[in-house]
Amino acid sequence: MNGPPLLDRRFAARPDRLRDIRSAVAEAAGRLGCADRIVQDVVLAVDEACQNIIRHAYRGLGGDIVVQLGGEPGRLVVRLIDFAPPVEPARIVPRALDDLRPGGLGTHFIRTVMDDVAFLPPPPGAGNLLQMVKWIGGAS
Amino acid sequence: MEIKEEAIGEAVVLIPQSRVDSATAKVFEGKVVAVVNSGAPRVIIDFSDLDYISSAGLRVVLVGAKMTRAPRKFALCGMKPQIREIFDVSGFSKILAIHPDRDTALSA
Repeated sequence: MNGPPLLDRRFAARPDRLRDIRSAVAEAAGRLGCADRIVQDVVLAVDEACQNIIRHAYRGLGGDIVVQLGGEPGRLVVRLIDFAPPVEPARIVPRALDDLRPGGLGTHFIRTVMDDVAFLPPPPGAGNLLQMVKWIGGAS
Repeated sequence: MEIKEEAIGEAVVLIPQSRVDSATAKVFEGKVVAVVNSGAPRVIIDFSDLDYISSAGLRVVLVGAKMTRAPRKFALCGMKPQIREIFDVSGFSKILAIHPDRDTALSA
């Protein structure tokens, strides 16, 4: 992420905060000049990733999620930082679409609508850092 | 969350309002399961008042569809483009009955 992010906020890791997270992400992505379709994709990916953090990383016990969004030449970068125990990325895989258990479909969404998804080394004191990148053409 | 309900002939139409995400999906699931279990021959979910749905909401739709046994019918209609896109991304568009509007869903 080049320079300070357009969005850098800490949210409580609770389902009732997802609406505020979506609004903040949509506003920041809009400020980057992204098309509506791209904004919708990024909002969906962040929402699904935060749901997974709440449900699987924190196991519903609560905590915080730091949401960062910024622009680099030709791409939008989102980073989600949590303070839960480190996850094992190999275990986070999409499941069959008709599998009714929660979780796998969200991972499918994230990988479908974003161009690059990776866990990076988290900053000191954090548990996990998920980076998601969306190519946005000429905007930065 | 608010979910409107209308009875039209043999059909029950559910109209979820605003958004279905992981914070509201349990309420949505309770309503869908109750209506499907009521034995209505045709259950339609009209998405025309919905602005956002996440995987938690889609899971509820799939639960309703899987609970419905022929000759009863379970159908969806009235999706705004951003809602339709989420169904397309999920692959659910290929396995669920999706109609452009309520009249089409009622007559299918």
